Amino acid sequence: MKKRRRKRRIPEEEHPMAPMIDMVFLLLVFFMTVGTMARDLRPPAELAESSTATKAPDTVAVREIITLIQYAEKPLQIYFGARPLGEEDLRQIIQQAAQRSPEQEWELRIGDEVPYSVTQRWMQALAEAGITQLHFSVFGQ
Amino acid sequence: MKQQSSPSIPIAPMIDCVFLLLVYFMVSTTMDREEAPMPVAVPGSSSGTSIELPEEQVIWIQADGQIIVNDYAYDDARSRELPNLTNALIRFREICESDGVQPTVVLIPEADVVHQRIIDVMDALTRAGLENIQFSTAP
Repeated sequence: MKKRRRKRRIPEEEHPMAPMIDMVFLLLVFFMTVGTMARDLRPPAELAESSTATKAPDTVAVREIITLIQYAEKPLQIYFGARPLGEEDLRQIIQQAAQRSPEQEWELRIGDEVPYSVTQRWMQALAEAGITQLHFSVFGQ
Repeated sequence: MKQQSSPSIPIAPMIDCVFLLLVYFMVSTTMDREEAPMPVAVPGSSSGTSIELPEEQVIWIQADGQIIVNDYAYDDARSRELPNLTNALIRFREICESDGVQPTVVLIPEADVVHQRIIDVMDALTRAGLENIQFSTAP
């Protein structure tokens, strides 16, 4: 008579799952950290704070973004998107972009300490190029 | 004689979990503040043609932050909330509504006024329910 072989059960202690789960979670966190899903290319700026502004809905049209930063006595820093530019270069870009699509919305990210003379100069430049859709970026509270 | 092993609570997996949760929340938390847009009418744009209307209210912003409306200084130059200006603007809006006209506000900041002060005044205008805001280029 054939003797029935009992399948030997492997005790759980011989296959510990906890280190494997640890490693999986660590790899998950690592790739979440290093993965660039949607990189924010806007240069960091201390914008003015507003108590009434609300976050734009995700459905809002993509805007051209100009950033103006000036702290204390330091010179004015100008960015178009993420690119640092001189005043003349930015004026040319505004002219070209306005000719291409005059209905394009523009966003001015202005540092909280930037004087109005600077703001006025660029609002004037946008107006002269025929741009009417303009927004100030602020920090909502 | 069989020796009985003493029961013990393994804390290593718990520590693992705690650290993993810590790292997860450190990664997923955004420390950056959310930006929000405030619509403005650019000077000289087509929407700025109503500057001649008699229902307009002109707000001067001095370099030190003082707000002047009709030769009267409103609130402290360092006040961010601007309660007196807000109340005056609410009255202005109510008068315009009772007259059936569109209220218009023209901001005239001095050249050295910092951007934060302009946003403070725009906040007061929003609180007062005024939306038609324009910037003047000539002080």
